Amino acid sequence: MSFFVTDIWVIPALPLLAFLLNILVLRPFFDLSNRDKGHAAEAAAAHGAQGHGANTAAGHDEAHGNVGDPEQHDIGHAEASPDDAYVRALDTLDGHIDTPAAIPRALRTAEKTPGGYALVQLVEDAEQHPHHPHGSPTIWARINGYMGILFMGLAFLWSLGLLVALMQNPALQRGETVPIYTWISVAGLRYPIDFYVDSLTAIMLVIVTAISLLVQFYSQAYIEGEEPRGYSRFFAWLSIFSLSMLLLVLSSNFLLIYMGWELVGLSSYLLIGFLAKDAAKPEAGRPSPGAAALKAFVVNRVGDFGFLIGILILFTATGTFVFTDIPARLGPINLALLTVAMILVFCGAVGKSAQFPLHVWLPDAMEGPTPVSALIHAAKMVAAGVYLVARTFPLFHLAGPQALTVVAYIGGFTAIFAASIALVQIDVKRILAYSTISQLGYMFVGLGVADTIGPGIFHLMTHAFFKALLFLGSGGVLLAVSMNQDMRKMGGLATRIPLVAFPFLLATLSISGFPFFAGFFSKDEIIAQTWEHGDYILYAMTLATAFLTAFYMFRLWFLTFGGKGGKFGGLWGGEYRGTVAVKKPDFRVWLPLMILAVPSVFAGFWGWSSVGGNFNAFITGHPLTPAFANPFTSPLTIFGVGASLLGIALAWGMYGLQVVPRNVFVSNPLGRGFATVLWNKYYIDEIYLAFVRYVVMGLSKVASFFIDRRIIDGIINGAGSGVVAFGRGLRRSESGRLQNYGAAIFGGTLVIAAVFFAVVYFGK
Amino acid sequence: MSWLLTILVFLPTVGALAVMVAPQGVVKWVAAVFTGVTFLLSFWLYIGPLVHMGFLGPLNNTGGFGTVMSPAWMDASPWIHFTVGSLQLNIDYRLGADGLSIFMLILNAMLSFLAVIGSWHIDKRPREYMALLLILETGVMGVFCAFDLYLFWLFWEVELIPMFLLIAIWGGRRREYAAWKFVLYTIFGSAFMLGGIFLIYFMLGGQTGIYSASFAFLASHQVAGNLLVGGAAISAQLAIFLLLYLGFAIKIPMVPFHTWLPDAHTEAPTAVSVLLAGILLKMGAYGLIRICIDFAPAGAHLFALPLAILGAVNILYGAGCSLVQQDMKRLIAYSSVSHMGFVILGVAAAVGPGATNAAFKEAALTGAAIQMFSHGAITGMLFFCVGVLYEKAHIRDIDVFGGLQARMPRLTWIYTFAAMASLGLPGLSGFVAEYLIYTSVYAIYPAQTIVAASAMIITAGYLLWMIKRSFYGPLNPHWSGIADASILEMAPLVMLGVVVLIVGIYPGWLVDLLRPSLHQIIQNVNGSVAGLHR
Amino acid sequence: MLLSLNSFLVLGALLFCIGLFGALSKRNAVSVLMGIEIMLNAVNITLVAFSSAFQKSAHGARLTGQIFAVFIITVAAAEASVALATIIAVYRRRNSVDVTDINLMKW
Repeated sequence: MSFFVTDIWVIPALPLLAFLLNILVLRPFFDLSNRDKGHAAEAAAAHGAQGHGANTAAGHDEAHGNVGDPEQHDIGHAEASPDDAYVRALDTLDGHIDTPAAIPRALRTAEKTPGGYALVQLVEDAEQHPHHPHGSPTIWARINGYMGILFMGLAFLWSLGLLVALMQNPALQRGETVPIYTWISVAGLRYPIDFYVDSLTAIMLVIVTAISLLVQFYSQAYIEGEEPRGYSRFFAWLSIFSLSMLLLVLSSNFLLIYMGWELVGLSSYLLIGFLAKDAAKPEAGRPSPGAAALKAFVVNRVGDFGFLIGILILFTATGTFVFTDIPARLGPINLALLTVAMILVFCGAVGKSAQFPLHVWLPDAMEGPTPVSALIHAAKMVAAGVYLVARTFPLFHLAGPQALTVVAYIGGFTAIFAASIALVQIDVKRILAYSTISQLGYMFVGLGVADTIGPGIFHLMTHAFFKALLFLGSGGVLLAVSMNQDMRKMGGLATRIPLVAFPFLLATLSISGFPFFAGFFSKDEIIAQTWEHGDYILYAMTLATAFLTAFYMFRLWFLTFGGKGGKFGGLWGGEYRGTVAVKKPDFRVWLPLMILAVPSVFAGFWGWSSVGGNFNAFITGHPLTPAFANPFTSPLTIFGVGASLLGIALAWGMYGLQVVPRNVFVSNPLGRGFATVLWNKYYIDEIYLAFVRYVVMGLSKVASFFIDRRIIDGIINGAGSGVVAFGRGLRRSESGRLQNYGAAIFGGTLVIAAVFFAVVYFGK
Repeated sequence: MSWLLTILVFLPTVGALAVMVAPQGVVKWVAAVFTGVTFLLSFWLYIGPLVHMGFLGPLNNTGGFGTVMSPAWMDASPWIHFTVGSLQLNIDYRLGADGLSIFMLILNAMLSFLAVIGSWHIDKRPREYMALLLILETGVMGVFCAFDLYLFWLFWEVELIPMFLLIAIWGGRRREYAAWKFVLYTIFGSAFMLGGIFLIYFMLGGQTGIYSASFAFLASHQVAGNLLVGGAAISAQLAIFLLLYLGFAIKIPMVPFHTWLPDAHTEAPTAVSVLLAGILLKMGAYGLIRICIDFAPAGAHLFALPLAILGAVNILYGAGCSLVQQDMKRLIAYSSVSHMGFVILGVAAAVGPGATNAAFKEAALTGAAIQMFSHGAITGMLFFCVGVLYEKAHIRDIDVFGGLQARMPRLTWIYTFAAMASLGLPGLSGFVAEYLIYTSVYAIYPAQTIVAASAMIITAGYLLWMIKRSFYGPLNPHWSGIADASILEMAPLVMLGVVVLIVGIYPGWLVDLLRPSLHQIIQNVNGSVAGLHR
Repeated sequence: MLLSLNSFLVLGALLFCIGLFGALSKRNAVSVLMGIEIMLNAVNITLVAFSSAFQKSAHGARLTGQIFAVFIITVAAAEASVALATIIAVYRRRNSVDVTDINLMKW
């Protein structure tokens, strides 16, 4: 057996080592201690959480006009209110209840705290200006970055070696368990931490490590531009993100996959909330990073809850966590129970892969730095859900057909649902976010209908490349236009930043399913699979989604890079609508884009058996059904290509050539109403918000403030005051008069005597 | 007779005397030295048997750290013996430590030491404060290693006095109310507990002819027969279980006997909150595992279903209440209610139905025991974090902060770490206990497990929401001058963090430590349950 | 005529009632003390009566009751001196020996 397999622990160990060296050695002892200690404000914020808080006077005025809270003027700290107002506006936006009463009391207390905060604040306000972060990372922070890149590069090479080894040795492709250690062993129940390597693992490892490597390389420039003080920390979080995802991919059992699963949630929480100081931007419909991180974690937990119950059903029925052992030990398990279990496992995938109805966290997750979005969307977080279904596919097969039907229909519905929302958005990153949700829907359709994991994983792979490219490209755009995400202030950027625009165009073509690009092969394969398996509803859904995808992606392209007056009918360059000067990105930005462009264009040929090989045969050991082995023998391809070309043409007509009026769809009230619904994302956030606010919080308030405070404490305090009241009454008998006591003694003696006499007399 | 346990129990008392006579300037150092030495000595409880077995001895087998019948450590001598007519009262001074005791003793020694470190800033009558902390440590040490039921009860009551004074003198605004509530609740419970102790002692004495309250005897003999209560016959073991359990349930605390906890936690000074959550709640859980279900297994079995329901309710109810708290300490207090529900749930499953599920039962009990340990460490961390914040801001309301990450990065990360541990993040100890409990209890009580597991969503919600409101977002300018946690303040947090991490990554050693004790309990339960159904 | 035991008991009871009445109804502390003395002596009469009625044995009369009576007389004397001293102390402070005025030990 190849040492690439037996020593597979090297792959997760590398990012772990990078993380530990970073966080335990380099960052505390070199990076932090070598920072510029010029003034107090910086020293106080030594851990690099400074960034670009919106604390300028201008920002205050704007916010004040919108959401100022009159109550706070009483306190006499006018400069405080806009911040609070921002926070509160955000809280009302993303689903949290605030308590106005708490603030004034707090502020009064705050005045008593020692320390000349006012002076510090003045210094800081002078220093901080949005998007003009001061300072640059220390050399040690940069070393942290280089180390992360180096270690991830080694992990990538190892993964590549593994992939080659597996390709050369088909015997290894079918899976090998690599034991690591036993976490717990109780009374015969084993909780193993073991790895499992097969061709699916190898593909995922290559994708994860490759994208991570490129994103880390790219992050150097990005974080330097956005949050230089958090440089080391960012690379630490990236390493732990890679570690979690690698653990997830390598796991041989439900225990380790669940651990990786949760750790991925942790990493995404840390990374989405990385720009912690930013406030919400209610006017742009954007929550604060902190709120987005919270939402991502909690929504994922909803899915994890289902996943956990699924694991529990399987574990208690079989007594093992190991994927490969479960089928044999299932025994006479109820088929319905297994189906339920697998649907619950899929719940976890719904959460992580942001499928309807748990998709709400992903668009908000755009508040993280753009490289993080690229990681989450391409290789890590969202891919985990698809990978989970693929990894447990044998169990889905054993279960009733309902399980895979649920997978396919959730996927199909999400695909068209998210694509429709993407049609009307104006935020670059949000459009890409909805496109991710939509494309993940495709993957689940692929898994659900195809009887094999090949098409789904194939699309996962191609999507990883072109979506990473799209996100990194959008990051390049944001760097160029000073972090403005509003497409209305872009346009014509292709001629201004051609090195970003060119790979971006290739990726846009790829995701739109333009012939011979990677996305074309993988997506049309899935669309064809739905037809072949006779699922015409899904076929219609996926075909319509292909059209929508092409349309909104080229809408994005034209609004950002093209536009009126550009070459080739508005395709390349044109009028720039923004006000800030466009900055040219350096090679750390465009080099990863160029590299990613290669697989975004060519990766598809692996799925075209007569040219590049047979992806499905590598993954599952069986070639895909011959009907789609060659896309050009299938008449269905024409429809798929037609849909995407139609979408491209429509977008070109509306936004490039501008021959089709832009308000063609929203000129009538029906279209306008529909667009409003889409713009508001079908009001799903609002519904969830209402549920959390009124049902969950309401019940909790009843429990805490009524049952606890009134009923239970009422009984307790009532018992206490009852005893006290009894004593209070009883002490009246202590009159302090001698005669009363004497009479009581005599009376008591008489009573005792009478009782004694009665007992003696009547006792006989 | 080895003197180690006696030394461990009474060294803090000696320390308290030393503190009372020490010069003013060195009071805290004296307290730190005594708790520190106790902490170091307590490790020998764990290492000693390992050395005895040649370090790599057969820990996985039944030997190891012994069981309640033959614990690895034992200090015993006769104490009070008298006979009046047919009434015999035999009380022995009997201290013992098997796996279950050892890890609670170490946890107690560690948290007491950290509590002293974490109380360095106390300047209100530090002499008395430190002395009371040390006496508290004696009381709790005694509870965890008393192997005689009367001695157990004695230590159980001893612990109350210093705790009452610590809350009532050094507490917050409503300290006297909280202190009284705590004491009255606990004494209410211990009255019933004493009734239970008498019942088991005299019934067992009557039935076997041997009057002994030693744990080994009580674990190996079981009360039989019924009791007539108001004309209705109920199982004597059930009566014993319920009487004893009432005392423990208040300490755990179980809904609806939990309302002392938020008040006591909120009003107590930081280090005392840490001890309260870290150790005192564990006394209830320890009593439940060590005494209730081992000495009255059939009674526990009869009460298993209500116990499971109460456990699930505890988890969900505590989580829900946490969600709407404004005070950080109150929030964490309610999260303790929620997390201690896992112990109840695990124990319920361990005594639940199903003879074929012995493995799952043992796993459930192991999970409950590990939850005791991990909750102690994690909640200790959370309270220390709040304490650091409160020391600087003099306020704990969540909403008044905001954006503190800019000023307190160290506290932010350690607080986030603690919150993540508390919500059950893999790799940290909270996950070990919760996952063990979920995976095993589901085999016995699936519906209750699902209810309990649904709290994981709420738990993530309230903890991270708290973090978000306090530490994320733009900095509230009123806190611009706030300083980050100092090295001294970080020390206990980092120590606990390391423990949490070690247990989370490799819980195997803890399981090995506990295995013999818990295996004996499960066998006892299974044996008597089989007898019940015969 | 030989007096029967009952006569003594009736006398004792009567004296006791007189004493009790005095102790409970009088407000002057000295009168209360006198009532108590009468009650003690009533008990003495009863003790001596029982003793002389029942404690006859072959070896002659035993004097348990009489000895008790002597003890009571002694203790009563001591008690009277303490009580009178207390009354004088109270009088010096309060300028009154009325027991209804001395009620500090009430709730």
